[in-house]
Amino acid sequence: MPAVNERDETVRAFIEARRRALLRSAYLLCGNLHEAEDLVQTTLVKVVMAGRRLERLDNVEAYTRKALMSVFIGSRRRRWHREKPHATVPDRPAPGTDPELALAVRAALSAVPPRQRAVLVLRHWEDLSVEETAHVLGVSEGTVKSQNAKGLATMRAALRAALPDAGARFADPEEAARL
Amino acid sequence: MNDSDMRNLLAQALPDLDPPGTAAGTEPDAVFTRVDVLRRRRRRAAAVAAGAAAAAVVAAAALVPTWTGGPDSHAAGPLPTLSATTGPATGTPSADPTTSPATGRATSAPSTAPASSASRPNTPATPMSAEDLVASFLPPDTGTVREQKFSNTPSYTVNPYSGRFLIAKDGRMGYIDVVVIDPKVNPDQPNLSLAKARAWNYCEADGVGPDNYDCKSEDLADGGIAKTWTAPPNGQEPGSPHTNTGGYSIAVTYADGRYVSIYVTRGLFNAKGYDPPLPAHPLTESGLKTMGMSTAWFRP
Repeated sequence: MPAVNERDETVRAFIEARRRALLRSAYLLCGNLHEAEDLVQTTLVKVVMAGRRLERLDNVEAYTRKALMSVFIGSRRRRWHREKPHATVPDRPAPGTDPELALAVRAALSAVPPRQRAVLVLRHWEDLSVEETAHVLGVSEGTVKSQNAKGLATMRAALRAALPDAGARFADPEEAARL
Repeated sequence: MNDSDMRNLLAQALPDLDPPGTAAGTEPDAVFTRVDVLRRRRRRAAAVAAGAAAAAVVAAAALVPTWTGGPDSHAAGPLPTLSATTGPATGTPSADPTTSPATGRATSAPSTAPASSASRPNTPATPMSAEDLVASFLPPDTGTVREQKFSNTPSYTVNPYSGRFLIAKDGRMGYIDVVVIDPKVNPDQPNLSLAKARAWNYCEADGVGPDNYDCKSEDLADGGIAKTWTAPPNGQEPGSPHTNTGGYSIAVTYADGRYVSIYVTRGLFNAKGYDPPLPAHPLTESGLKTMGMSTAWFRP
């Protein structure tokens, strides 16, 4: 096991390499850049403070992903932090994005309950398998599947409502097949 | 909308996060600065406890190893401190998985203890054992009470009623942590001022989380103050060697320096020496308030 300073340097390098990816996931979870920054900082603080328990880098990666989800869900559990759907235009839109679509997707995400949103982000943004997602969230694979389906359904409905002209694009695949 | 569409949609929702300076709080220097602050705060809490040990060497030493944070460090109330420049120390009970519950005092069966509040001892003529006193506040058939001895603490304690009390029933185990400071028992022991107790926020976020919630405060008729809060489960803290199921806490501070803090929990998952948690907390919130506000913890 590395010495303390060496370990800190390893974690420091990990933070530098991963923080933007974490920030993207956190933003998708909370829909707010400042809160995403807080979520990621809190997550990384946990990672540093847990350093002695994390001997291998793949452990750090897994720990970090779990910690982010834990911090996010914990923040939603507090009574004084009930979410209200919102769709704030970011200060600086990403290059190549469609502002109207960006707004609609953020609004649709915010309409999805936090745990389902966590599943959507892990499954569709971080590209984790059902099994890996279940492990990160500490739930069964069946729960992941059902929350994923519910989350997608909520998103589709919200997107269809926000962008009626693109309704077919957001149809349920089974519904689309029946048409 | 297939998986590929979904990923593209999520990408559309993201703002531009690439410019330098964006989310500077996530840069390594900022993260390590925050870690330093937290580590200093924890060291300060430990140092305060150590300072108390200098004044009451034997007494404070008993608590420090057990009450200085840990995987379930949000569990119970802070250890009161003397310092006027620091708040109540954040040291809280930790179920050290390396310490097994050693055989404690004789098991105290709640069925033999007074079960109704009317029979609870507020000013016992003869001092009860700590286990009996804890058992006296539990509903009938909650389980047997046994004080857990920690291998890394001396046999003496700050107060004979302070300790961790395991509540065992049907192969399951919850526990109750009790910290008592009684100037009549330990006149040299530092105590918490009423003003500091009144101002202290047990639900303040420490940045590590999960934080306590549902904090309430109640002024007592004799001028004391009772504060209650709920400690969340900490099992979602990844890498935690064990999972605390969370529970209820109360801290009662009196103007004359008496103090009692109690934490009740269903127990721990995956902790060495602990059976799986009880199906319910050994005490309800109202039962905990009765227990915390009792004067039976103090010498008449």
